[in-house]
Amino acid sequence: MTDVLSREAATRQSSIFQALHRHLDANDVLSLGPGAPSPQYYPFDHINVQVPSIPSSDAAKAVWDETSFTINKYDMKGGKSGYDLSSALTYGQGTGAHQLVDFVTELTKFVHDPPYQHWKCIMTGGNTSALELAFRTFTERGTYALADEYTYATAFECANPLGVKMIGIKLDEEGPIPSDMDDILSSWDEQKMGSKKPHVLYTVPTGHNPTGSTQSTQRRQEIYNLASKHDIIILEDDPYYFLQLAGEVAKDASELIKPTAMADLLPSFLKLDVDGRVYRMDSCSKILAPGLRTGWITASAQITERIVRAHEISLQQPSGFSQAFLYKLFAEQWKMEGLFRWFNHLQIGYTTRRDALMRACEANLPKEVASWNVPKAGVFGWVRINWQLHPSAEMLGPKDIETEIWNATAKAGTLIVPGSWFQPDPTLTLSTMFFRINYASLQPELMPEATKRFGDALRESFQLK
Amino acid sequence: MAPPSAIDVEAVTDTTGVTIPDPLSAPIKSNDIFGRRRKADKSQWVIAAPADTVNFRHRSYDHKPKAKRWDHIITHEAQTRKGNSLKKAAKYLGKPGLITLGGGIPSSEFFPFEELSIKVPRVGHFSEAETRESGVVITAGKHDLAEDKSIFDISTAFNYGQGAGSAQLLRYVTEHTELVHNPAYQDWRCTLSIGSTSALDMALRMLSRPGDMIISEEYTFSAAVETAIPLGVRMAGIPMDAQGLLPDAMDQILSTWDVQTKGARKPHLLYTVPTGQNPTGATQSHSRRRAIYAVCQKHDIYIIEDEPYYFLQMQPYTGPNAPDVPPPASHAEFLQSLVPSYLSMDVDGRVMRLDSFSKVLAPGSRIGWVTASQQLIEMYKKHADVSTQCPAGTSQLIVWKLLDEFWGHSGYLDWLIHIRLSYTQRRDAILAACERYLPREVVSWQPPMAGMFHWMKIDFRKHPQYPERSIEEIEESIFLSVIEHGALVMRGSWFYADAQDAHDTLFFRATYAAAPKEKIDEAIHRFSVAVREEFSVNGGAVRNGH
Repeated sequence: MTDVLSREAATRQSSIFQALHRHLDANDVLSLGPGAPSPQYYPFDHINVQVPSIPSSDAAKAVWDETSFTINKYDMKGGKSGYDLSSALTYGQGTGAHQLVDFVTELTKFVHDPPYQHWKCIMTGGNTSALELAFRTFTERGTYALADEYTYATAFECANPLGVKMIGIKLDEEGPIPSDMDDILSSWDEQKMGSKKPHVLYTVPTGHNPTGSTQSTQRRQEIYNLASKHDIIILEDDPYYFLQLAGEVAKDASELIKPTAMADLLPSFLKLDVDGRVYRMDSCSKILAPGLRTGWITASAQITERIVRAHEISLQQPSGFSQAFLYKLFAEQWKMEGLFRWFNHLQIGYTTRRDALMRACEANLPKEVASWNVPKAGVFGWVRINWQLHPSAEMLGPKDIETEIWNATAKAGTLIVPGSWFQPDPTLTLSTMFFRINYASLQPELMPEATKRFGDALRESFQLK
Repeated sequence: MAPPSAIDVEAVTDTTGVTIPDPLSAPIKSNDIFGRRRKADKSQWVIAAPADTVNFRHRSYDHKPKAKRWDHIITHEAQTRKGNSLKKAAKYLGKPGLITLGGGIPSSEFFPFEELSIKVPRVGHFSEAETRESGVVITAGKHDLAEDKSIFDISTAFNYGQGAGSAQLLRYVTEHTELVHNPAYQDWRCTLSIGSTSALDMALRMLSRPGDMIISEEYTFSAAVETAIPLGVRMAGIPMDAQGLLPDAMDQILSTWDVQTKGARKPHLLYTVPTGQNPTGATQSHSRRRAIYAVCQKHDIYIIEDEPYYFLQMQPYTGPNAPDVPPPASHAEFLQSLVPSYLSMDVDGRVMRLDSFSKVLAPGSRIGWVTASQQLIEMYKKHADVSTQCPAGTSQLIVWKLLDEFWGHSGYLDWLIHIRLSYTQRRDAILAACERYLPREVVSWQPPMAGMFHWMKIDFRKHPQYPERSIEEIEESIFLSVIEHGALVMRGSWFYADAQDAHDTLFFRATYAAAPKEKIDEAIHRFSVAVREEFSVNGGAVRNGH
């Protein structure tokens, strides 16, 4: 797979300090080598963090009890813990703390069980960072990458300045349409496009941003098969993977919600990856907190080695404070089983919120012009507007109508996000119109009011009764 | 805390003019800063609140020149980068009565962190032992902002932020930068970084293209070379003396630059570590920096000033037999004792200064900050928004609670004085060991005045196998011999700016930052034994037992 590496990635070297490790590890060598400050000058004696404790029974519990953990400076001495502040706060390796790498590797093996041999996990600074490094590693200026006709804006805002344009695959309610992807690749005209056909696919298969869609198992397999056929690297951006939600919308808030069992989670692209062509990005942002600025990637060892080299000369590794908190939480407090219970807890919380938003939309949005599907994962709703029914449809066109609706909704006191913001190619006029809404931020009690304001703006705009 | 009075009026006679000191140009004292702060609306401290660091400055800059524009060196990549549209939308959130179905910012109800407490040293009792015994536990809760207990809390810090970092920590580093450097031009700004390694990568992407050469010290930070290479950028080494870059040599190299022979356009970027340089430990004096700055003006060179060791400036070295210099008696004296930075003399806005908490707090904080003209800081922020994002909220909250809410600028300066004196002791220990053990016939050095590195010159011409063996071969032989004797030092050749260049010096780098003093002494002893052996074989320069 070395021919897919960019010039930049192929030229990354090992740091000289790599060569030192075998000398440093020797017992009686007194090192005056690498210049890291002594931990005696870190002004932190210990940190205590209050976290939820895992409920003793399987029964879903709305509010968890609290417990806490303490990280001291020198817990590793004398074996009090596998990690401590003196270790977390010094310079580390581009893989991130090996204690965390061990945990996420175990998690990945359990959940995805990659079907090829030499896969590896390394820690990252979150998915935005991991994605930028992916573009720098796999693409050159003047080339193209595949994405969706509506795709996560940060992805193309990252790619475009690097000289990479995204081609949008047409979408249906599940996600990218396989026949359209095949068409784009099979009929690629190198002359006309000024570049070889794309060899990278960017996809958000679960709880897609912005459309909220989730690709079924069959869809994922079809897309994977096409990736194999055309030798495509799949950049699987999957921050909502563990937020797969209950199927049906509850009729009211009192209904009991069943979380998704780990065994029932849809297979990731990594799980289908017999070729070792998937670069999977996992993030702590939606399952713990964005401020941790930590995630991990899983890919073939050949690829992760290049990313480690990139980390050494940029990010280095995630925040030592974040890594310390995660280690205590994952490896000591919750362990794998507790983490799964936490995922269930989140699923119940987000399903409750999703259902509140769905009920509010049902009650307040005019179905004559607005339609939507129930998202099966993630945090986004995607409202389709039948703009052709607008009284001035022919005169204004979709862009202007979209602006009119957005302004009217903002004036009424609610923010929604125009679908056109998510077009990787803004010069294309799509025949569809959408607005993205989300159920992650707003309190459920305010959702009826918010959707009413949106609905009223639509009614006014379309001059409905 | 009572605010300081705005005006001090001195009546002389009723026919004499009275001078009223302008608070905007009066010198800032470290314990005045808190009282000088503009009252900020609570909306400045909320989740992902955008901040313009111009609002955090206390002095007036209107009389100072505006920065030059750098369009002629800014890369296409940086020019075409648009802002992150979703983060821009955050500014609408301030509208009263607005409820949002917009940005996917998660609710903090799902953050599994309710409260965190850290035990930190009280001001003036900074040692590790004192921290344990008399340290103070400072606490951050989830909703301290909403509950008016603090302006920074877990629900804010642990959520998404602007690429530039939190307004809370930006205010602090801006004030600190102003206090210490008092930048010489008008439109300077700050942004947080995730450390200077990342900041350099971002700077190179902004200011250099593949095929460029950039100038640096002839022995330079190896990671900087490693960062530049994949971007297609090579370094051209500038000769140094004990004070670092030589201005005349730099002028000569730039004036006679031949595109054909060098295979690159004339450099427009200087990468320098002016204080406690890695690897040589050299520190450029004030007059040396002025001379280098003048050469940069002459050749329109943009300066990347990488200063992780700025606050590892130490007491002057008096030698093992003379009394120590007394520590700075006040904050003003401490700040006066620091060598002025390039930023402080930067009338053109041609300096990008990289600061870091790695050596003064901890490398694992992964926080630094960048100071440059508004034009470049805006580009840096846009890039951070679609790549690194801001430093981790965990780090930002902990560092802010310690430096701003607990120690304040005054306490932080006291901490920096503590660091100064600690590193002074360590330097003195390694130099004492060198004076005791090293054979002066073949090893020489200058006492470092800053940083963590000791740079030892070896007279390779006295090596028994010179000139049959090359300098690099002799260096390797010594290196391996030192390891065999149970010590580790770094080979100078690992730090060449340009490995292709001819070099006629041989150095080893040792650090005094990490090991306990007894181990430093023993390590130098082992080093000296190895060197004596290397040079005494077959009737060489050094007799055994000297």
